[in-house]
Amino acid sequence: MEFSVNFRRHADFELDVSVTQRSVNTMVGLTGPSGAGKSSLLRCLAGLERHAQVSGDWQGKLFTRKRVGLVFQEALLFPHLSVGQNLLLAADFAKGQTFWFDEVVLGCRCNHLLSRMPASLSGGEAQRVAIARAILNSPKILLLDEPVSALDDHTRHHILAFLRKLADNGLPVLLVSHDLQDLALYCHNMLYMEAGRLVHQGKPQEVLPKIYQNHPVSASVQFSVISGSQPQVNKTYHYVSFDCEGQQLFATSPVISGDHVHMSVAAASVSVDRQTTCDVSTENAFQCEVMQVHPPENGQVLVSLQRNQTRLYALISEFSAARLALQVGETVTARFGLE
Amino acid sequence: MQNDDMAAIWLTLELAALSSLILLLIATPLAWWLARWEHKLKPVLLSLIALPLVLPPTVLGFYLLIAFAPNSLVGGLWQSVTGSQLAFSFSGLVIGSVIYSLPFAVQPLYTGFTQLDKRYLDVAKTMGMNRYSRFRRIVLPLCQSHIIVALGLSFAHTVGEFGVVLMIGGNIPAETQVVSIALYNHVEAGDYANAHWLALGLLVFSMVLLTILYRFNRGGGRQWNFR
Repeated sequence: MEFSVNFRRHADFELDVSVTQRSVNTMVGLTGPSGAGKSSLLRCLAGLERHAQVSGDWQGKLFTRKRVGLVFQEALLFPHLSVGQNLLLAADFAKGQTFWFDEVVLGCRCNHLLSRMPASLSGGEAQRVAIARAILNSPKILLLDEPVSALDDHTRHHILAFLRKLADNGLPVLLVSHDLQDLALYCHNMLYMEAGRLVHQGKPQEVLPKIYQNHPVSASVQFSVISGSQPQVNKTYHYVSFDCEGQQLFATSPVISGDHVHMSVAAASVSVDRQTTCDVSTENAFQCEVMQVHPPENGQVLVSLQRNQTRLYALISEFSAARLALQVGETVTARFGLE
Repeated sequence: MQNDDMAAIWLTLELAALSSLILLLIATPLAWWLARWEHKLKPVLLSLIALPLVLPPTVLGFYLLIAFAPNSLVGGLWQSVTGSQLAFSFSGLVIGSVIYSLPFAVQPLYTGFTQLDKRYLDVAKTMGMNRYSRFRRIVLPLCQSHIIVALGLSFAHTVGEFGVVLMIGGNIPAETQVVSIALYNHVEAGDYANAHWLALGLLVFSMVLLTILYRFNRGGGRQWNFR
């Protein structure tokens, strides 16, 4: 994935973005504060800005020559056509490899909406139809601008998992969202934009610490993404166990993609223990090293923990931090639930 | 009702139908272009198109009569191509009606095109639709109420013409004599009975047509197509 976009929207805003990622990743998350130029970047890549200079490709698919699908923040379903007609119209104009209508409709959970008119749909329903419409149009690259913002948690994860499946099967997907957790869990790579420029890019595990370090994110909403492999499903107790940095971890609803497993762990749900063994109800015990003890903020202290490539955050009370007097380099056990 | 009156009614309907269709063909691309054109001269062009709304019909008719004369550029060219003169002919009436009713066709279409949410066209473009497909499958259905209003107003306005028709068409039965002129003839001749029939017919026709258009534009004219 390597592309550059230059576009002067008006006198005081210029979009100048160069993305260079050598790894073969097909699902990329884009985030940044409002007004950073994320939507403008997507419009440029989709060929909707005549004066934008776009060059480069993604998976060998040129932005300037190939069909680039775009799902806008608002669903923008054609209001004179029913949901089914909207989808069929998109399928009519599809070129090359097409997707199975039923598979996409089910994947986007809009099979029961086909006869409805767009005006009768809720925001979340319309968003799902808009995603299905874009996929059925058989784009070579799919761009999505906050496409799941109006969906409930369960449906959102279902749709994101479906998009990830498409990406794993070779469809490059660029997903814009303010939800860092969604991006970190479902995307191979992340981009962070600010004031029309690309500030950070890389794997979620690399980009998240940079975002936390350089941009104002409340410690109470910070989380980390733990990735592992060799998932094993326990059907009796409904959890998945997997290997992470040589340790076994457990999760109830991780994101599984092939042999890879990802789970997010909120900093507030991690406790720090000096003991390696302990008979408590929190199932996960992750041996790691204290990397940094951040200054107290609102009576809480954020502790950065790391084991090899895996970074974890723990948000503990100022009182606990004073009592434990954690030292950088010290080995501790991070305990957290199934998540 | 006299035979001349029936001929006048038929001629009026023929003139209105032909003019409305021609107007729709001219006004649709013109309004589409105007809705997108950004230039400091745009108000001048909009005023020029809207002139027949405020100009006395006789003024427009007078200039058209001069333009259609065989010794003028337009009239001479017409005569050399067709062999017949443009002034006092049905063809002249059609051209005059098109110019006179142009704002009635352009204004509703211009309003429809400017109010259309352009992002629908962006979506259509990302779906691979070319310009023609975008216009046919998205713009036309979304602006259909404005198109019908434009067609109806053009038709109704042409039916109600008097000044321009009298100036450039004269008063030739079955050739250029429309209903409004036939009515004028009856009044001048003191034939109030036939004048009443024609006047009542025009009144009822105009009322019914406008009611249908207003009803369509308010209730049936779907408003979902605009932001």
